Amino acid sequence: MDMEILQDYLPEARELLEKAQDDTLRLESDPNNDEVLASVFRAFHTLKGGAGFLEAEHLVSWTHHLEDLLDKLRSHSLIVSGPMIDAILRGLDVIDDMLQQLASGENPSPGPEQLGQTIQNLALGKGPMESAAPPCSRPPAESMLLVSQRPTATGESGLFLEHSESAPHPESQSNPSGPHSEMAADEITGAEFEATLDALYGNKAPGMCDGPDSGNQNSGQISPEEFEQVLDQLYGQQAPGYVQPALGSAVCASSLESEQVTAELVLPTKSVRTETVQPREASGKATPPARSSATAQEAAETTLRVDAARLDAVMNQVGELVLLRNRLSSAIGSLGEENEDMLRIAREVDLTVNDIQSTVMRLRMQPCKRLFQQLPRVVRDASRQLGKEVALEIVGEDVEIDKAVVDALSGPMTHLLRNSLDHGVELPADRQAAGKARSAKISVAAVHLGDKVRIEVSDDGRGIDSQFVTRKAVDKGVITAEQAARLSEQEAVELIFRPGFSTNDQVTDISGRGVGMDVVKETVRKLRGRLDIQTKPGLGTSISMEFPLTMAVLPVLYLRLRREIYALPVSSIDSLVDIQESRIHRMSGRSVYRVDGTEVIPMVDLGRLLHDRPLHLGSEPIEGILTERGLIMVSEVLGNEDSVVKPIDFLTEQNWYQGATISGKGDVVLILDAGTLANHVIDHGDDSTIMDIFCKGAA
Amino acid sequence: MDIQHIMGVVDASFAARQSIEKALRDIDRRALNAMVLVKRHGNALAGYGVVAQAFRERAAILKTSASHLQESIAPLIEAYMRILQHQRFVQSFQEMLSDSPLHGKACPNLISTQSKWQTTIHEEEATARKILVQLLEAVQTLQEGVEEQEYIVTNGRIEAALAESTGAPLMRVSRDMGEAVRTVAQAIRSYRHQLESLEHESSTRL
Repeated sequence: MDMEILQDYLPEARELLEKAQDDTLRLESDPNNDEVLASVFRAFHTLKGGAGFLEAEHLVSWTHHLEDLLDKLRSHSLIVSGPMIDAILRGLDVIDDMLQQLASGENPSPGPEQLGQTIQNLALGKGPMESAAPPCSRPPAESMLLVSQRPTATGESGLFLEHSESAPHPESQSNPSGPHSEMAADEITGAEFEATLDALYGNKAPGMCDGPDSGNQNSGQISPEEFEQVLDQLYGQQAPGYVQPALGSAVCASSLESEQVTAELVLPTKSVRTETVQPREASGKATPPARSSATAQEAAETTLRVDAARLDAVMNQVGELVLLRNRLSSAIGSLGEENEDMLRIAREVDLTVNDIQSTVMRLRMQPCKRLFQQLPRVVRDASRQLGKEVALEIVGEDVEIDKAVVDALSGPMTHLLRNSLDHGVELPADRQAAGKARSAKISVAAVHLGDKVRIEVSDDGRGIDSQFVTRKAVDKGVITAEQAARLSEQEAVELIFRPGFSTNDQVTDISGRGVGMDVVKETVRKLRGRLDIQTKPGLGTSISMEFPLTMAVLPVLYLRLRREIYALPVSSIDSLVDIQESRIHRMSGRSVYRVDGTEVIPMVDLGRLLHDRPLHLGSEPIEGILTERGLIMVSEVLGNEDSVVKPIDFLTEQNWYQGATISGKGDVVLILDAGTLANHVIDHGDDSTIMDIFCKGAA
Repeated sequence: MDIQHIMGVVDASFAARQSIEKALRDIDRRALNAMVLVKRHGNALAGYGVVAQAFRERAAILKTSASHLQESIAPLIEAYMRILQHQRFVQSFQEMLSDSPLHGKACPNLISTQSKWQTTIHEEEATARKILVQLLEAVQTLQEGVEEQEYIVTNGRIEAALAESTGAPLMRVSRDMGEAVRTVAQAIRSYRHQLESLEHESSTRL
């Protein structure tokens, strides 16, 4: 297997696969859309072509069957049916598996025999839900032509057009080992071929005077030179994949379509490229490619595919540069105003590093579309399985976010949707009884919020019953009855994110293990994001996740706890407050702070948690950092800085830190995890200390 | 000048110090709050970030100026206390001379000593006046710093108005900043009045 070709092939194949899945789902609602049918067909055709170069026989064979089915659909010999969509989607899953095998350096194993047979049967019109419409007028067997590529008598590679000996028997067509089975998808009718030739050559076609049935075999042959001439005539030197004739090129596959032509050229470097050419005019005159094609080509020329590992390396180096910048600023700052030149240089370095950081950050950004495109399939499959009717609305596909977030959120998004479908959305009859539309609505949205992106999954289902959730959590031993009694309504709803929690007593394909939502929460935590859930009984639930735009640099606030310095991510801070004794109250065994007339939040005494010695208001300086989940008490807030997070894997699983960083003064500073600190106080009250936790952990 | 007046200045100085320190801490916290807010909104509030940074830097300068203020207070009070003490000595000698039957003739040494103390008091009063002038200059610097801070707050309000579309509560932050600056300005002004009355008292007596 040629690894260079493989490296080029895999990303393109995955993109094709994603697009094919998207298009297939579109076909379900718009089965007669020729453009979409052609697009899916082209995807399989291109996948097959690339697989051929890699000698992945089973992938070639599998895509061939699918291509065959799509060819029939495209020519309206068959019409799209539900079982066909199912089979195509399952076929796509098999291709995905095969691509994964290829990625791990293995030659793909054969696809599932039964599914393969089903696809072939469907292509032959033998499926369970055969096309209701009469098949399109199929040309007589005598007019069937086959295009093949073989060496000519002179030893050059040529395209050969042959009349089929007899009408292709359905059985022989479905048999992959048959003599022409590999070429089945390349079959075109004589009329189609003539139309294509007319479109290509007009009246100057070689052998124009000879009828197609003249029996002269040469009239059905074009040599590579002729083919190149045609391409030159069509595109000049702008042809996609054009190379100088001296270098030579081999035509590997050609699918001539009445509407579109897809040409795949193998360059000497063996890289596989696919270009789609816009439809030609019916007059048959050779016209330059359409404007959009030119634009696409220009875009292709200005786009560079770079290995993600290289980008990560650049990002890490920028991180180090940021740390150095911090140290330089700190060192120059300590000189005071003695040297204005140095101060000015430091400021300029600061601005330049900010620019570099922002530019490199943008390199890693990817549109949320990549994350969302799998969701229609998830909703389709799960809603069918559960017998529910759901309309999925996706908003903000163009919003960009760090690649790491896009990669990591694929699983959690699936969990969220499946969970929403299983627990949130009611059965159609129940919805009608509740005065709602039969079809539920699930909305997935990505919104840009300053230096964050919020991804929200909401439904108009039954909402979450906090009392039911609390009862289940106690039954399943997730929390004790005593802890349950202390929970606020919001905290009770958030129990759904606890590991091991599920409202289902039985495990199903969709849910019940109590893992999915925990995975969501853990993933959000690891991505330094924020998770929020809002629910209204009977009206629906909305789960939102907020992520920083970039994972590479973390703005932090430095704080002092007695003599030690810690950092807290700025993203977790609401504001800094002057703690007033009159606002401190005791409630359900824990200290709470009244922020304003309506909001009361738990107090997190950092001295008690980290030093095992509480901070005393009045006898030592204390400042408050207001976070979403609690008011963190510290000795002093020092200032903010952009930092680079270094992992601290050597600590136990249960710790209060997100990582460590190097401050501008060159000290190693631990970065606190505000969420974990607040959750601990919520769970255990503010009497337990770090020693209690670690003792429990050790036990 | 009497001890009550000096004690009044000591109390005013302590109150002013407390008030200025608290207000400066408040300014620093509000500046940090603004910087946190700016960081949370990314590049959209970069303009306000510059303002917040300047506000915090100014706050740090004010803090340093305020600490210089405190450094001068102790020597001033010390000087005035010493003047009071020495005035008491002069007064004692005066009483001794008045009580003596040979007033003005029998104890030339006593008269000389009294005269020396008088000279010392003049010198100490000159020193105290010098410290007081320095202190008033420090207060003036502090007031100028506060005025600059007010200018930054005004800039912040303009930036906040420009960035209103971002939805960040910058107007509230600017208002809070303005209030903190006003508090410190008021504390300094009242302190200045105390010092000026002391200066007036000293010069009147002199």
